[in-house]
Amino acid sequence: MKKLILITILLVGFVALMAWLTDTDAATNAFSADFERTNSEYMRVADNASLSILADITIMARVNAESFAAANVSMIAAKQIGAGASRSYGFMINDASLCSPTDSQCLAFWFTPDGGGASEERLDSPQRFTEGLWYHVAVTWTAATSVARFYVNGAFIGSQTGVGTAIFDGTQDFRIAANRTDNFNGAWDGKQDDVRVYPRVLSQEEIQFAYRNGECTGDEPNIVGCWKLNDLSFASSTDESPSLNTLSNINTVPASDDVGLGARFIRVIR
Amino acid sequence: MKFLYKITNKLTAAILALLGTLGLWWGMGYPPFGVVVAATEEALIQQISSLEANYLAKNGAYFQMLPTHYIVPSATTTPDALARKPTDRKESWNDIIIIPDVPFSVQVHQSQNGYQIMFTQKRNGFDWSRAYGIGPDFQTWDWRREQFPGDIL
Repeated sequence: MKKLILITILLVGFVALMAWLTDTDAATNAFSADFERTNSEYMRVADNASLSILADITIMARVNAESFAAANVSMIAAKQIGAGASRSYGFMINDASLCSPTDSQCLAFWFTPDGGGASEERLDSPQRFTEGLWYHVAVTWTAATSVARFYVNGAFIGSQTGVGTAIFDGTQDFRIAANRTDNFNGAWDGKQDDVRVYPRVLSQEEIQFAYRNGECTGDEPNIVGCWKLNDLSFASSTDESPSLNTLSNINTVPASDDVGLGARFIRVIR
Repeated sequence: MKFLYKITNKLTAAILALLGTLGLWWGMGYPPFGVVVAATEEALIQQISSLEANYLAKNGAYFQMLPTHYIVPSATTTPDALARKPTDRKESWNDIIIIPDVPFSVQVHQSQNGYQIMFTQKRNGFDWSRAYGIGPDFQTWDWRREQFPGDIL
């Protein structure tokens, strides 16, 4: 009898210990958004001062592509790029044909200083991505030097220098998973989670911290977009940042319980 | 006499079945099918808006439609994608409205707050678009050029 009680106590203790070790934000990061390119699904928030970032910027997200667009971009988030005369900025994964050099996919940041297509600057870094896998991707762009630095899973993968030192103050919506609404050939197809925008250049340490520590809370310094995409409904998804850039759900983006990297890792140190 | 009685009964049953089907169709929120509109943007905007209002009243949501053409037309073309529907939707254009031959592609976006009717057309190698938006999620604009030569986006 004593042995049975002892074994029971040990078992309960073990289960409690494992629950404690693995209990990061699994309870909160329950969902991601699953965009279907062929359904023209995206999320948007209207142009506003907080997302009209004209200088230093950081964009990051956890992404898991169902497919990459052939000979096109796969847009992660953008304030209209690649279309029209009111282009601002966009962060994307590109088909090799749109990369420099053109022998590999790349992580890319495009912007225009005057809103037009002729001056659109396309900065990127070669990186191959596999469909069906989660990646934490980030870009920082420093206006003064026009340098874009790219990160995958917290690792710096490369940089490229542009010419322009300012981003056009366009009137277009900020969109997740699409850059334009009349053509979805370059829209995102797959899941996104923990999408963030900052009007400053984050350090690699900050990006690694974001990668390792689950979703944003909205309390990060200067953050203007923190979309955890856990409350995705038919109508909207909340922005946790002080800017309150709640996203509208266009064409019924569904939620997925497959969540991004860093959401359920085992906590080693407490 | 018996024969006439049988025929009348069958006719009545057929009419009732037809009415029942139409009633079910209507109850599910479908507008009267077979609506034909003129091949003009204004006629399409008017008709689609009317159908959206009807659909919203019946379903509590607006409908979405994918582009009517697989390739953006540059001249009057028969729509070839009318049977296409979003994977999570039950209606295609064929279930809602009869789209005639038009010189542009038409699509409809929706959200909980409204909808947007989008026309796209190829002109001298450029993509042009016109949009009619209802609700805070969607913008309205007159025909405008969307692309620069060489862009494939």
